[in-house]
Amino acid sequence: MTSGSQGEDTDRELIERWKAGDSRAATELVSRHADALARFAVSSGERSDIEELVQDTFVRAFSSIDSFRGESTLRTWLFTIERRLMLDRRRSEKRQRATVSVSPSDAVTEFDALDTLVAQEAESRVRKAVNSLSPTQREVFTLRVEQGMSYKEIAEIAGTTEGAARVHYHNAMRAVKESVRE
Amino acid sequence: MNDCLNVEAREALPDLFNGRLSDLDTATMNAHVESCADCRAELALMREARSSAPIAPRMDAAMIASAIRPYPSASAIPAHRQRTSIFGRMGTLRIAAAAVLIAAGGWIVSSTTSDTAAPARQTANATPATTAVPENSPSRAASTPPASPTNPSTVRETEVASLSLVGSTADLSDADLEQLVADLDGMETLPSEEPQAITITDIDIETDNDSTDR
Repeated sequence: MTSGSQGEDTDRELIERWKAGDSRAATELVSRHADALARFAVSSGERSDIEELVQDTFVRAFSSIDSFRGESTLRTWLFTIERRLMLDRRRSEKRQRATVSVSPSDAVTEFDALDTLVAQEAESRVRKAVNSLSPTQREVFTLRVEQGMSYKEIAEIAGTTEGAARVHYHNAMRAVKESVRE
Repeated sequence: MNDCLNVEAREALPDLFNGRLSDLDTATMNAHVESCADCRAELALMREARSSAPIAPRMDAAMIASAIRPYPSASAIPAHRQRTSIFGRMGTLRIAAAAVLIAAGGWIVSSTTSDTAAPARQTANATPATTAVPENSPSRAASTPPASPTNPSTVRETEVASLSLVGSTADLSDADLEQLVADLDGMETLPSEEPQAITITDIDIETDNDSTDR
């Protein structure tokens, strides 16, 4: 029932313009997608150096732009790259925590800092419920509700199947409802 | 808060929430939501989730874009790759030039060694114009002696002849050589017979096979 991706052709045109030497096309693409990438990063638990993360995402994307075949939207591809960078960051942070003998991390511990940040802002029941989801459920919930992505796009970003993405979403929604109801 | 029993509607709620439905589907969904308390509650939950999402910092697009390297254009291609591509486009000319050089080199060497290379020339005379005569030419078939693998001297002789470009070109007159060079200049690609300089070995093998068959 979705109306399909919008602006894809224009993204491609901008990519071609950039390839032809128009650096303003890159700036336009960045301004078009950077805020969404930043929101996704924050919603996924990233709490520092967001701009650096987004910048790394674009640098990597543009340096391998020829591998973008246009089978997905540019935004989906960018989210996929950013997600990998976030996973790398978390692995690196885990190693650093391990070296200073901080308590071992689990899914909830990873986002304690985000919970604190959210608590400092007007914390809502729904946000607490969302934050209590497993990382996978929260990622899928965020992409589906806050980013408005289809299951197909979520599956591409998360490296899973559409069916699995659908199951994760409904489990997440059910968990949030139950948490809010309590 | 319960799940709406209309699975299709429930699936489409996030798309309705994000404005990703067509006009027709939006109208259909809005009509459903008006009469479905569960879907209304779920939409309210989505609104709350979005509004309570942590605030992301604003991105400086110009700053981010400044870190992006320009797309590698043709002028930025490494020199060795450019050379490859240029020769790739000029492959025909390259082959023709190589053929002319080989022919000219052979002519120069033969002219400087013509007095001292008499035995080799005699050997070459035994298999005249091995490299110049087309494979399917009747004269070639007649001039190439049948090599017998059981006779080592014959094998050695044919090997010498197959490697001796000097012998075959030395037999040509100056006029013939000029004609050969002119012909090579006029070629777009080398004729298919050109690599046949080493096919005497193949002939040996064929002879070997023939003798084996027999």
